[in-house]
Amino acid sequence: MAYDGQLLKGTVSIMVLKLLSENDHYGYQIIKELEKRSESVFLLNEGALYPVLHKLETDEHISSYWEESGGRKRKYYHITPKGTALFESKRQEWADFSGMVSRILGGN
Amino acid sequence: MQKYMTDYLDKTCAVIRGRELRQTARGELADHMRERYGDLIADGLEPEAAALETIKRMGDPETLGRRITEANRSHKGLINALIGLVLFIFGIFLIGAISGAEIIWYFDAASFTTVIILTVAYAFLCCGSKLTLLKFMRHIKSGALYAGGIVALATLILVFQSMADNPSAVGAALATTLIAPIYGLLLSAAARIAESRLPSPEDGAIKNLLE
Repeated sequence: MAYDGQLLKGTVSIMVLKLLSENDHYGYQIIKELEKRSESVFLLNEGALYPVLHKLETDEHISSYWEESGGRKRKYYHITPKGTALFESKRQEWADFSGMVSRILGGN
Repeated sequence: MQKYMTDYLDKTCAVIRGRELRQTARGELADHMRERYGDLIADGLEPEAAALETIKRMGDPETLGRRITEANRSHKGLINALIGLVLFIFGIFLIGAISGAEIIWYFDAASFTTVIILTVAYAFLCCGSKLTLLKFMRHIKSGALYAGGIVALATLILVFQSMADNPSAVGAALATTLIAPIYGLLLSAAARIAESRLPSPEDGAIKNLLE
């Protein structure tokens, strides 16, 4: 399903931080995991993930390292303490915001 | 790798600025596309159809390249250059004082104070972040390298000037040229030692700072 780009803006980074708070991931793994958890409802334009990852890395919310697996070098991402703090505050913000929108939309 | 995919990477990388970023981004995107392609083949698609589907899922190559460049833009280079400039001015005064060469600006207490105030002000500006000290030392390290180079270059120019104006000053000027790179190296080494004594971001000490 294609969602409004404006609606998605900003939420991709929270989802990425959530996955990285559980384990280190590489780009394609993140895409697959997002597909799996949303039961393929959420299909991100795959390339768009990388500017999100790189911005988080520039801002030091995540760090990266290369690791060889199966003869190929792969770039893994790891959440930093700064990223964990950001994730916690974004998660709270999202809970408050979505609760408020649901209350307004749900009311008759 | 299918030609469609190589073409896609070429188009994306053509708009990515910076050689190093271009290389690493290419490696990362190629790895992603290879894996998606493999999954599509496993799903039963023909090679050409799988390659076309892979690039379709990646989105517009030029938009992607531009966004990657934007995402990697930071002010670190500018901050390093500013610190370099401050250290450079300080170095010129210091070298002038040590060598006593008249070709260099005189060591001036008021100017020295200004440089110190500027450096301290910068350290305070960094206080918005809790990783201040670590960041500050990293900037100093890079800034010191800029400063060493610039001071060496500036003193060389001054040597040539002094040879034309006052041949007797050449000895002092040459001594100054030797001091300049040593100044840069010393600054850089001091910063490196200080940095190595600081905890890495993964350490508990930094974690405590953040909480």
